[in-house]
Formats: sequence, C-alpha cells, structure tokens
Amino acid sequence: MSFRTTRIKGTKEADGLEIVIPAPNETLGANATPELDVTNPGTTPKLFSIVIDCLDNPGENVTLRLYDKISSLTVGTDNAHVWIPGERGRRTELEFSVGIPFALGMSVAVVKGAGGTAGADNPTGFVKVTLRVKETA
Amino acid sequence: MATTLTSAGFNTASPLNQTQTKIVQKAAVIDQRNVARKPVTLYAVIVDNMFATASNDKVWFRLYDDVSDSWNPTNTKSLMGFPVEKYLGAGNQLNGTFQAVFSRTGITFGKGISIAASLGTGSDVGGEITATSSNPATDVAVELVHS
Repeated sequence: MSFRTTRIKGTKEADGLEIVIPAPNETLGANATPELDVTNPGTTPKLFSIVIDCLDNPGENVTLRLYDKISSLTVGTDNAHVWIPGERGRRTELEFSVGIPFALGMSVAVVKGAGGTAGADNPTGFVKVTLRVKETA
Repeated sequence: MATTLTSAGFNTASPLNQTQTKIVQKAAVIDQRNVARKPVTLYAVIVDNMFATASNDKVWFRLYDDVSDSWNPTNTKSLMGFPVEKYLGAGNQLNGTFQAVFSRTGITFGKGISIAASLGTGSDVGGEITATSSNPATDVAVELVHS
C-alpha cells in the first residue's frame, strides 16, 4: 500500500500535513505492514487528529498504531507511541488538543484486535486512516 | 469532574488497590479498576501530568475495556494509549504537561473502563505495561467524559 499527503494551508494547523492511508485507488487498505516515515524527512511531527474509517471493515475491531520510529520497525514487537481503537463498521474520529509530538518521525500500522504492542494480524476488510499533523523542522 | 490519582494507585506490580485511590465522577465514587462499570461511549479524556517536576519523564496513559476482578494492567491488552508530556519548565505548562483527547464519534467500551499509567522510561516507552514498568513519580489527574 502507499499513502497520500496533502499540505494544509490556512487552517489552525497552518503548514500542517494530512496523511491518508492508503492512497486513492489502492485496493489494499491500511494493515499490519507498516508505512514507515510518513511525514517529511528531517521533521518532527505533532499529531493533532485521527480518523479511522472501518465502514468497509465490518467483521472486527482494529487498532491503529502510530510509532515514533522510522526504520527497523517490527509490528507486534515494537511498542506503539499512540494506539487508538477503530470500531468495526463505523468511523472513529479523535482530536488531541495540544498535539502529541513524535521525536523521530511517524510510522503507521493497523492490526486486527486491541493492544499497543503484541499482535500483527491484518484487518479482514478495508481500513482507511487519515492523520493530521503539524511538522516542525 | 477531575480527580487526582496518587501515583501509588497506579501500582504496576500488583493488582490495583481499590481503597487507596478513588475517581470522582459526578456524584459517584468509583475506583480506578472500574472507572465505568457498564458499557459506555467515551467522548473525552483529559490527563494532566501537572505535578511532574523537570526531572520526571512523561507518562503513558492507557484505557482498558475490562472491569473484571482478574484485570491487571500487566496482563491485559489496553484499548487505547497515549503519552502525556513532562513538565517543561515555568511558563511552559501549556506546552505538554497535559493532554486532552476529544472524540466526536465516541469510543465504545463494551464492558466498561479501567485505567492505568506508567512512567515512560527505558523499555517502557509506549506500548503495554509490563511487570517491570514503573509508577509515575508524581500524581496524575484524570477526567473522563462518557455516556
């Protein structure tokens, strides 16, 4: 899978970034294969909002895991920095009022079931993730 | 309504002491093992690491969809978790000593809510609490808004 980024201008997250996983027209949704370093290299992102879309994943709940790591990442072993549940068959939206900083960068994975560390099973259906971050050089 | 939980209440090495710390929610007093003892939808959570001094690290806060007697944060997968930054010095209190999380859609806890926190150091940076995790060094205040 791949992801799409869109520069955000003129919003409260001025000079922010919207990250959508997977990119449009992809047939494979967000899963346990991590998308590494989804923000621009050399920047430290601050996470402000999350949308987990499980409308096409009605079979089971999932967990979105965001890692403060940009390489050598093992989903199921490495500890997630932030982990949020995505409920089957619906959208989950979340906002962090003061943002959550990622010192090294951000990598993303979605797994079936719960937890911030163990487990690396792919969701059965199609899961889409949208993140909004502010990047700091 | 916000309540301060003592760091001793987040005892990661043994089952949580139900009498040692309390969470006040509206007019009811509920212990942290069962913050909410029924299926609920969570709409907001505010975690304040306001008492941390400059020498203390950030904490990781976790919520569990488990209110059973056997629940222990060292052997139960959490439903969600996030870091709350440490004190950043005088005049910087709003730069990360608390985290407020809001959900327009809500997050479902089918059994109820239990909570736990640990000091984010060493191998316990993020992820689940383990038997070697440490308590937060200072009090952590938590406020939940749910159905």
